[in-house]
Parts: sequence; C-alpha cells; structure tokens
Amino acid sequence: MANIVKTKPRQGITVLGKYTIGTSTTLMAIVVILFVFLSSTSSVFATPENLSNLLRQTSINGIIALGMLMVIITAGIDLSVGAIVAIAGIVNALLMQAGMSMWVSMPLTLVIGAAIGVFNGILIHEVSITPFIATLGTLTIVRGIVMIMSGARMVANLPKEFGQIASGDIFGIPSMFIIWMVLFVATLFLLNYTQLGRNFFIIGSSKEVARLSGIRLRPNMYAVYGLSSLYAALAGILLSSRLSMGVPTAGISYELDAIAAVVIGGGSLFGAAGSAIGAVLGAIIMQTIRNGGNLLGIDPFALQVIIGALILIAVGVDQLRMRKAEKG
Amino acid sequence: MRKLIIGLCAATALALVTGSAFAKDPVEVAVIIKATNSEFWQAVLVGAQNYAKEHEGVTVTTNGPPSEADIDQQVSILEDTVSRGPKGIVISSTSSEATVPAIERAMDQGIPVVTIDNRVKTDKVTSFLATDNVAGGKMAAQQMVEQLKASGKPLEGKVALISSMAGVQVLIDRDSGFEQGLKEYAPGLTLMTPRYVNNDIFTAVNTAQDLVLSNPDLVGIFADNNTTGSGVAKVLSETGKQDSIVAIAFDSDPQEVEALRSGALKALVVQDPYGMGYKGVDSVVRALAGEKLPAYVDTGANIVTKANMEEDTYKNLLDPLGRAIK
Amino acid sequence: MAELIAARGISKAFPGVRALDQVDFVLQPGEVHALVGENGAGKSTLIKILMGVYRRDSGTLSVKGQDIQDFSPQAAQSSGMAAVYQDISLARSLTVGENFFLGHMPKTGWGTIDWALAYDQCGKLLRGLGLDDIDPRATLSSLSVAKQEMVAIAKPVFENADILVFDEPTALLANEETEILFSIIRRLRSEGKGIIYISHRMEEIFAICDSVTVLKDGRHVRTMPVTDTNPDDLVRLMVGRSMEDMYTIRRSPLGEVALEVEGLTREPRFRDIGFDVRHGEIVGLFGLVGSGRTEIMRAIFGADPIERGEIRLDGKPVRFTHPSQAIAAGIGFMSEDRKNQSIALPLSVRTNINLANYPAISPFGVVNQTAEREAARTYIDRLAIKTPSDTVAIRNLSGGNQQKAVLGKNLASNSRILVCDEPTIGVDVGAKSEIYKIFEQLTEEGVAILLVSSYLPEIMGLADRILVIYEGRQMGIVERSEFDEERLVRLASGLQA
Repeated sequence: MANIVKTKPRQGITVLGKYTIGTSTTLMAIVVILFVFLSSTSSVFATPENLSNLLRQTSINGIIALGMLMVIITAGIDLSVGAIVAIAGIVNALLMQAGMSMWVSMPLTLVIGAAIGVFNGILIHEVSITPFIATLGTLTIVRGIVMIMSGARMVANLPKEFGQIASGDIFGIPSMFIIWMVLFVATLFLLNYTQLGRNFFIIGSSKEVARLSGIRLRPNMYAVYGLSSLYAALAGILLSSRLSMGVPTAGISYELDAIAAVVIGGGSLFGAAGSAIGAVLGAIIMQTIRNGGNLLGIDPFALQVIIGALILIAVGVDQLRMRKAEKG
Repeated sequence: MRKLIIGLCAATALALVTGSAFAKDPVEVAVIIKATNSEFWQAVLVGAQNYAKEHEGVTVTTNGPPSEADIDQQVSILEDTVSRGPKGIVISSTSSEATVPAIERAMDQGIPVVTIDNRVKTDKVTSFLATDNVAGGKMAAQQMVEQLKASGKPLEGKVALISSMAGVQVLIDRDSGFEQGLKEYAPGLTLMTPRYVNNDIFTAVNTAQDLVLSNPDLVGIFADNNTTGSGVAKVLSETGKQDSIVAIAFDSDPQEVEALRSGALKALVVQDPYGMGYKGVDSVVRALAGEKLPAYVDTGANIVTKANMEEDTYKNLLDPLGRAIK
Repeated sequence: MAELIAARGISKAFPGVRALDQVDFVLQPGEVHALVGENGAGKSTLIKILMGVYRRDSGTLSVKGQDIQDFSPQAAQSSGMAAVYQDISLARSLTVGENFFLGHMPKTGWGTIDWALAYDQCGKLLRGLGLDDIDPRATLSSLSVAKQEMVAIAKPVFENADILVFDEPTALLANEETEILFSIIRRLRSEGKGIIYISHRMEEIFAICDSVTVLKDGRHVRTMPVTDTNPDDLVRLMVGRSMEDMYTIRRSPLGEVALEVEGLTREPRFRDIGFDVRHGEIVGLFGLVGSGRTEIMRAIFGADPIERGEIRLDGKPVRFTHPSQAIAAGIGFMSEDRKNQSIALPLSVRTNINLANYPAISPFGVVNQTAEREAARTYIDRLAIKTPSDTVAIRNLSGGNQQKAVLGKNLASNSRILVCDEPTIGVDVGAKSEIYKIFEQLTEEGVAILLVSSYLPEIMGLADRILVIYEGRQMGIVERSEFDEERLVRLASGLQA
C-alpha cells in the first residue's frame, strides 16, 4: 500500500531510478538477517517454542511503541507510559482482589489509563507545558500513586482465568501477540485511513499550520495522549496477566524502549514521520537481539552496546540518506 | 516462643543494667531506613518498633526517604535528626560516604549511632550490624549442590545466574559468594555468564525463559533477589522444569514463599531485617548503659526450604511484617 | 583585477530533471549582478553550487582566481562568500549582537565574553548602515520580520564578505528599508565587492544592478548590462510575455456583497476597520509592514480574537473563534508565512492540497481515499502545479508551486471568499502570472478576494478597490479609477492624500 501521508523522499532511497527502498524494507531486511544468523548459530532460536516466547516477549513493548508512535508523529513524547503500565497492573489487580469480575475491572482500568493520558493532554495543550516535562511530571506522580495504592507490595492471588489471557495460545499463536497485531492493524488504519491520523501528521509538521487549516488542536492532543496511555494501560494489564500479579515496580524505563522502537522504525522526534509497521519491526528487532543474546550467552553489557549502536545506526543512516537526497 | 524468651532475656538484662533510668526519662531512639517503599526496610521498622513495645521507657521514631535513590534526602533526614538530639540513632545508610559527617557529629555529641546493613566509611560508629552477603551466596551454592546430590544427579552441567542489577554492592557480594561456593563444592558445574534484568520482573521472566530453552544441560539457577526469584519460579512452573532444575533465590516475598511451597524454588536465602531493627535498637540501649559493643555483628543469613518453612523460626523470617505487635 | 567568480559550463542533474545545462556565470569586483529567471530556471541551483551546497556534475569554477574542485559551504565562507536567503537563517532566540558574532564573541583579558565590546562594535556597524533603530541587544525574535531581514543583510557586511548573494532580499521589506538596503549595496559596490542579486521585481533590478544574467529552463539565455535592456524585454526573455500583460487581469462583473466588516477592532493592532468585498471582486489591502494588515486578515479568518466589530457573510453576522468555523463558512486563507502557516512541509502534496478538506471527505472520520486523490489530481492539473507526483513531499517543490498548492488547498475546501496575505511572496515571475490568472478565473466564478500586497504594481493591477492602512488605522478606500502610486504611498505613510 502506498503510504499517502508520508512521502517517499523521507522514506526511501531511489535505486535504478524506479524502485525506492523504504525504511520498512530496510528493517524487514534486518529482521531477516537476524533470523538467518540466529537460526544458524543457535539450534534453539528457530524452534516454535522460542519463536512463540519471542513474540510474547516483544508484545508488551510492541503495544506501548504503537501508542508512542502516534505521540511522536505529533512531534510530542510520552514519558509516562512506563508508569501507566504499572498503575494499570496494580489497579486492575486490586479491583479483582476486591472481588470485581475481570470483565469489569479491565475496561475500568483502560478508562483510568486513558484518563491519565487526557490529563497529559490538558497539561500540554491548556497549560502549555512541553510534552517532555508534562509527561515526566505525570510519570513521577503516577509512580508515587502506585506505591501508595499497593503499599509497595505486589498484588497477587489473582483469578486463574486472568493469568490465562496473556499466557495462552490461540491456534498455537501466543494470544499476547495476536492482541498486539490487532492493535497494529488498528493503528495502521487510524494513521493511514482516518482524519484523526491525518491530523496527527499535520500537527506534527506544524501546530500553527494545523490550526490555520481548521484543525482543532484540543481534541486531537487529548486523543493522541489518551491513546498512548490507553495502549500502555492495555500493556500493563497484559503484563500483570503474564505475571499473574500486579507489580508496583513494573514498566520502569519501558518508555525508553518504546521510543527506541519507534525511532528504529523510522519515526522522527521532529514529528510527522513514522509508521506502524516500522514501530512493530523496531520492537521485534530490539527483542530479537536480546533473545538471541540470551540464547548465545553473549555478554549482557556488550548486548547493551549493540542495541544502543543499532539505534544510532538506524537514525544515522536515515539522516545521511536524507542529506544525500538533498545534496544530490 | 523463642521470641518471647529473647524478649524476656533482653528485658531482664536491661532492667538489671539501666535500672530506674527509664522511669523518669524515656529513651528515644531514631531509626532511619534506606527506603520506605520496600518490605525489607518495613521489616526493619517492625523489629525496631516491637523492641520499643516490649521495653517500657524506650520509644522509637522512624523515618526514611521514599526510595533508595534519594541519597540527599536521607542525608537531610539524618542531619535534622541529629539536631533534634534523640538519645540514640539506628541508621541503614544508603551511601557509604554522604552520611559520614552527620554521623560523626552525632557521635561527638555523645549520641550513639548504630549502622545496619551498609557499612559507612568511618570508625566513629557504635556498632555495625549486617548480613554477610558473601556468606549468604555461598550458602546458596552449598544448598544447590546438596539438593542436586540428594536427587541423585551427577554434579555436571550448567548453572545460570540471574542478577537483578549490575553494579550494586550487595548483589555483587551475593553473586561472588555463590560463584566461590560453587567452585568449592562442585567444581564440575559450569557457571554461565550472569544475565542482568534491571530489577524488572518481566525481563526476568523473559531471560529465564530463554536460558531454560537454550540450555538443555541446565541443572540449576541462582536468582539473587526477590524479583529475579519470582521470575525464575514463574518460568520453571510454566515449563514444568521445576524438578529437573534446582532454583535457589535470595530474599522472601509472598510470591517466592508460594514458589517455595509449590517446589518451583528449592530454597530461599533469607536475611533477618526484623533482627537488624530489633538488635539495632537494643545495641543503642546497651551502649547508653555503658556497655562496650563489638564493631561488627553478623545478623546472619538463613536457608529456608520446603521442609523447614513451617517452623516458627523460619516462618518469622519469611514473613517479618506479620510479627508486628499491635 | 581578476574576476571574483568565474563559472563556466556548469551542469547539474537531479533524478529526472536537468537543473542546469552548460551555464556560464561571471561576477566582477564592484559589480551588482542580477540573476533572473522563471520558477525552475535554475537560479537557486546555480547559487547553491556557487555556495558549495550542491556538487556540480561538470564545468569549471574559480573563485578569486583559484580553481575550485570540491567546494563546501565552509570553504565558500572562508573564501569570503556569504548568502542571505529569503527565509532568515539566524538564531531567533539570540540577540542581534550574538548573531553577528555567532561563535566568535570577543573575549576580555579574563577569557570571558566582552559583551560591552561586542555590542559596541555591532551598534557602530548598524549605525553606519543607517539602521540606527536596531538595538544590538534586542533579541532577534522581538524584532519585526523586516528588521530581522535587515539584520540578516547586515551580518555579511559585518563579516566583511566580499562576494554577497541576496536572494529576494526585499520580499519582506517596506520601501524605506529597501532604500537602506540599496544604499548598503551601493557602498559595497564602491568598495569593490561583488553582489549577486536575485529578485522578481523589475524596478529593483533596474534601480540597483549593473548587469543581468537571464536563465531559462536551466540554460543561460543572455548576460548583458542593464542599460542595454528594459523591464519588458527582460520579462520577455524570461517568460515570453510582456510585463504589462502580467498584472492586468480581466475584470469580472460584481455580484452581491460577500464579506462585510464593520468597526473591527483589536487594540493595539488595529481599530474601526470597515469595508466590504463583493462576489467577483478583488479588494486590496495596502500598508507598510507592521501596519496591522496581517492582523486584520487573521482576525477575519478567526485565527486571532477580535475585541469589537462585526463580520457579515452574505449579509449574515458571523463570529469565528477558530479558523475551522471560517473554513466551514467558505473562507480561505493564504498566509504571508507560507512555510510556517500554510503548508505542512514534510507531508505530501496530496495531503497538503487536502489540508482543510478532510472534514468534508471523511465520513465517520474515515478519509475517502478516492476523493482525496481526486482533489489532489484536480488541483495539480487545474493550477498546473509542477510536481513529479502527488506523493512527493511539498518541501521539494519550488516556492511558486508550493503557493499554488496553497491555493489548491483553499479551493479544495470550497472557499467562496479568499483572504490572501502576500500571495506572491517568494514566487517567481512565471508562477506569479499563473497565480494572477487563477485569481482572474476565480473572480469570474464569483469568488471574493481580499488581497494584501506591499507591491504596488501588483495590487494596483489586480484590485478593484484598495483599502489603505496606516498603524492599524483605515486611511481610506481608493477606487480603481483613482489608483495612483503616489497617493497610495502617501496614505500608507499616514499622510492624507
């Protein structure tokens, strides 16, 4: 599908005057190379069990990254997502512990999560606090609330069925991955086919242009931060289902992993760039390297260096490509 | 029962030593912990408060920053406390250096200071009470080897080490103690490169998953705190490998205790934070009475297994918060 | 003395486009050399090659007698070359003085910055250039756009550059400042420096330049002394049309009153503004930079709040608190600041044309892709927007084509009233005349146009009536039959006609 909002020059490099290699093609190639390399060096990597582990491991960051992507497209940033992962896990667990059915507690938790995002939107739009600072404040507040609510203790003894949501399989595919893919398709649709998605890109290129083009900033800013928090809250519920408990310290620094996935996937902190497929592939690449590092027993600190370098290379290559395209 | 005896003994001893001093002037001991957000430090406070409740004339005030990262805040709390002038201070100092000036000032003013858990870089302290983490790590290795032997397995294959965080002294001690112990008791076992998980339980689960899957010859896992212990337990019970892999973890929290009961973890190495708090206040009171105290006291690490976990002593170690006197 | 710049046989191709084909260009010391040509003629490409921004594919280049193989912007700068582009590339949050010294602040004996000396030197230069009213300590962003432009112009003089490029320097300037600019240029010329002057304004070229080089479609057409030519010939060389034709459009019969403004006030920017625009009519709004004309436009569009006054559309009073309401009511807006207010630079031409159109083509919030593509295709064709495809980022288009896309954006959202603030700013002659043709068509269709322009030939050629503003005050409305350059300038300067 031709990506209409995003444009070819930002996305790709012209080859033979005809084909353009887009960021997502490059990423796909990296994924293939990683898979081929790991399959040949580790007998375990390509087993169905490891692959299904890998998908389960990636899903949490993958889901958060999709929400983060939308915020980054509007030239914003959401540092509060990690804290929202924690509060969603704890709130949902406490509600279930208090006897609420998970079919009530989960939607309620999602609403609370989205509300925190709207609070971010209010700070950013109405009070004009920059997104970085606004969400940093929210992060700190939410972390504190989580500790108060949980007494810094894990919330365990949750219903068995709840644990099965994230740990289960559907036709042999991890359910967490399926949920992630559903969100991926939803996000892809939202960004490429809806007015809201167009608005995000336009706001990301310039808020003033957006306003003078008749786009009301308020609902759009509330929506984008609300969505980001909603996704993070869903990730938090899934995480606590995966662990069968609410963990007050869950999600620490997850916001950075999500930002990294988006950026590896071609997103730009300057706004108006990024794609859902890119964010998904970015998350897969990061987790594949971690998984492979564990399987091969690579030195954990060297692994960190590799992932950091990957972020810089991904962004650096894009930048150089752009400059080359401009210089001709 | 044991608790009662200790209490009685201490009370008797105190009554003998300090006599009527209590009746007029209550002894206020300030207890400052590293962080209020953790069960471990809460247990220290329970120990200290229980001491006060058991001893008429002793009061305990408690304070501490919300998280272990707030070093500055702990220093100001200590400074304020010294200025207020309690009879004695018990502190678990997060930093080994930042609190030194205030501690020395207190000592100069004649306020005895007992440090617990973390050593500070001055000789001017009344006494230092801590767990020997190296010894604790060694005990974990010994326990692992014994359990492997008991199940009739040959002492060969790989052992994984999942560490909560890199660069934390307590964890480094535990890990190096474990490594020493393993070399000593079962040189045939290979210790794999440690994996660090940022104290994130999800990462701990993911890492344990990867290790279990990719190493068919894995015979044991050592997890050096409660987060990693819970993560490892989760994976072993999910993959049904809990009987082929001996997993031993540090600390105790409800999840770990549950795992011990289910057999996913074969043993827990448990410190005695309650004891640290209790003995810390006790040391202050004894110092005030003019007693000469040893510079260092090991509060001890204990191995809790499924077999002994129901015994009172170990039950108390596993759930120190449950010991609070209402 | 040797030539300052001698470029011969310069060629440059971009994928699919031959931007420059065997172009020669020579700049002598003490010469002001105009570079003219239509949109896409290759002027900016040539400048960028001279300034080391682009690499040439072939040809030779020498600067001050030195053969240049590989050039870079840094190398260009150290050989004394400086360019002032249309979009001011200064640090807006720094002071004027800091911008002058950027990275080379004078130091005291202590190694700290010698602020007094810096501002003193800077102030001296500004006074010497006749820019007494610019405070070297003022933050750049606190200055008007015109003043900022003057700072940008003064900077290379301060740096003692001896090859200067001015790219449309007067686009943002009022007459008075243009005079100062010219005196600066004359002074530089007398000092033996070389100046390349790019402008679409014919009278400026004939007022200040010594020679002129005409480019067309990437080829060198002719280089000659300006005394050998005249504006009409020059325009003909560039586009094959005469200048007279350009600003003259067919007048359309006027319809009912479309837009009525009464007592419009927003202190301290403007007060008691009242006028009307009929369907099919172009009403000009003339005033100096800072006279409040832009603010009036923005207020009508709902972009800024108003304190008092009434706006009526087709007789019905309206009150806009947000541009979306104005757009829904059929008002379109072209800002003078295209890059920051009218177009989303990194997004595609297709998205940009539909920028104000999405509410109309998105039933239940889902964009009708076919309608979106159709709208883009329609306006690319109808307005002859030159673009390889509608998925290309609009930042890759020339200023003229960007501006046509902005027109397309307003037409796609069915504007019946068009508020245009300097619609031809930074637009070359060819695209200009195309935009005028579009205005002509629109008025025929009954669209009412409110046109701000500080360029007299343009506003006098296009408007049916001209409203003159001075310091937020309405000085009068002049009918077409009474158009007179001197009278308009007097009114715009606060003098009664």
